Amino acid sequence: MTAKFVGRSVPRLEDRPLLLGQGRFAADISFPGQWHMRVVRSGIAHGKIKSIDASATLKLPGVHAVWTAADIAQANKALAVAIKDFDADEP
Amino acid sequence: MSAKSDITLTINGRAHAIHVEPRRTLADAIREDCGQTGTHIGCEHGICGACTVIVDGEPVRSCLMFAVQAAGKKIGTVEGLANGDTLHPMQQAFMDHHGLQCGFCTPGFLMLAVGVLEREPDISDDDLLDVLSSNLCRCTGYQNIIKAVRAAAKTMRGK
Repeated sequence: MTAKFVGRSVPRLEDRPLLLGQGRFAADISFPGQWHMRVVRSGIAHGKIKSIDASATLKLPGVHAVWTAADIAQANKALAVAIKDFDADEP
Repeated sequence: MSAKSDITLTINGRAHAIHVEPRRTLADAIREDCGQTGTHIGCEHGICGACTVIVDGEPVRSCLMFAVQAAGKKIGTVEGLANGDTLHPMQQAFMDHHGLQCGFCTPGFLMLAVGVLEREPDISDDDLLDVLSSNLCRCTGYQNIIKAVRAAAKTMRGK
């Protein structure tokens, strides 16, 4: 019996759309009314964040939300537990 | 300074009437205003070459050109390479030689290589490698891209 996949090159199904410019990458997807997000990084290379005041930004037209670490505290907690569990699995 | 102007971009032979600010890059206009998302934007400052398109026969980085500068010119993008169901020899060669993995940089490489070989079919191998070194790929390690372009160059010269 000849192996169908083992020991030979298999043509990739994704090549054709990618070569034709029909790939769908994240930036190619556009829903009606889609919002855009920008990560704002500190302009200071080494410092301590004491507080973040987003009030001026929130007043700008078209700004829907500003998220800081405080807004995702719950998610961060879950992630911290997951990392801890992962560490515990290490021999 | 941000007054919009009406311009027409001719992409792969099709006219797109658009209304853009002077600061709109050609890359953004092609993708956002004309809906042709095959042209990819990687670095947005002329380093990676993912956004390469052909403008009046010259490969250009569309993130470094304003849309208004391309008005009235002939623009070629990856969507215009194939002839119906038949892949362009360059596209076929990339498939045959595994010149792509994730495919993000591929449209830029295709347009760069096709643009250069159409302008200079008998380009030396050294010069071809020099040209290809202007685009970045983070998957393939370049060897298969070089193989693919060399093979396609042969096919294109044979025509």
